[in-house]
Amino acid sequence: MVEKEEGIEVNLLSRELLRELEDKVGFILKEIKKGKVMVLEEGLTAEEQVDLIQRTMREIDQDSFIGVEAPGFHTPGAKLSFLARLLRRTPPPRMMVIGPARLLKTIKKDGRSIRALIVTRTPSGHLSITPPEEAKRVVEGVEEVEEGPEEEITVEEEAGEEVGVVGPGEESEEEEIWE
Amino acid sequence: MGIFDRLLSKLKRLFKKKRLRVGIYGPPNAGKTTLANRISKDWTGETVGLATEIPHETRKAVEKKEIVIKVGGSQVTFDIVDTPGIATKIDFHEFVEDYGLDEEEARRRAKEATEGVIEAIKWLDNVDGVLVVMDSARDPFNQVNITLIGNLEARKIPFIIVANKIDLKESSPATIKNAFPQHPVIPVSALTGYNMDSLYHAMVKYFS
Repeated sequence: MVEKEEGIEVNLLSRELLRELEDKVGFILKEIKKGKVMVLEEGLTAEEQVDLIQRTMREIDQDSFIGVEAPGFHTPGAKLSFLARLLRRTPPPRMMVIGPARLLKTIKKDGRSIRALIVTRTPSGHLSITPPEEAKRVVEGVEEVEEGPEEEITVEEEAGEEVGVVGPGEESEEEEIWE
Repeated sequence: MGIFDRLLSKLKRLFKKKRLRVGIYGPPNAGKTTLANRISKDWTGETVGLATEIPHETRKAVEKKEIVIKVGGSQVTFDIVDTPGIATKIDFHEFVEDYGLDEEEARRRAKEATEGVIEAIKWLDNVDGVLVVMDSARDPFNQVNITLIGNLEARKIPFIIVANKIDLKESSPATIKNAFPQHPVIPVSALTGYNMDSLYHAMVKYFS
């Protein structure tokens, strides 16, 4: 019997694809609730981010989904264009990683890189994603194993090549971790 | 003062709102309620809410009306709204493990906190100005700060960034100023009251 590989799916969404989405925030949230980590080539605007926060708050269920983690590359104030300063407009993040808060933890970020952990196991065992029944199975499974290493990903702006771009409705054949 | 200036001044007085509603916004534990209490105590002698070290202590917006601030010969009446902290995630385990709450209380607090975030965002439609409170001992480039500032810019709501907690040794209000050079930043300690006069001057200047 062949055992199915387990892991966390990381999807990279191109700018073009993001712009084609009718309900970008809805799509992202739906995917995140499935336990996927999304890397956006173009960050969400401030309005989209506040929409994401509101919708996330409505979806939070303490047993299965505690919210999102969404670090992005922001232009440092000193590097803002003259026009941006004049108009007092902060540009949206140039790139963004969004994932379930229980799985994705930002370690450090600055204008050049984002270091994040994709948590695969926690000491307390309350690592779970929807649906609750599945979550229960995951938690039980975690309790039985020793605490193991966590996957660490580093996303650097310069290394922004598209790796395994997955569009809405498509499923990747293999789970991808961008290390 | 020329005729034009006098006319402009009269027009400004004519159309100026008598009371301005200012929202206090920011991530959890930035010191929003401490700031609301400081402002209210300084001008009315009363406090607004309970400030504790546990995140999401304020889970419903609290409005303190008719705070009359008088600085430099000007007088402006503010209604101050202390809003719940905005967050992208709320985990009840944090309340249990880090602050010793029992599970039932932690779950209730988490549930109320999610509703509080939604309520805080809704209040943005009903404020004339905003004090964005940031902890100057932490990285200002967190998602809440960026989202908040981007939305205020888009909605054209005037705001002041309050670089709070400058009484802490590790605080760096300059980091906040460098992060948002296009906006006014006032370093204060809401806890000790340090530099609050500068904030009152800025509130009168930018909001009225």
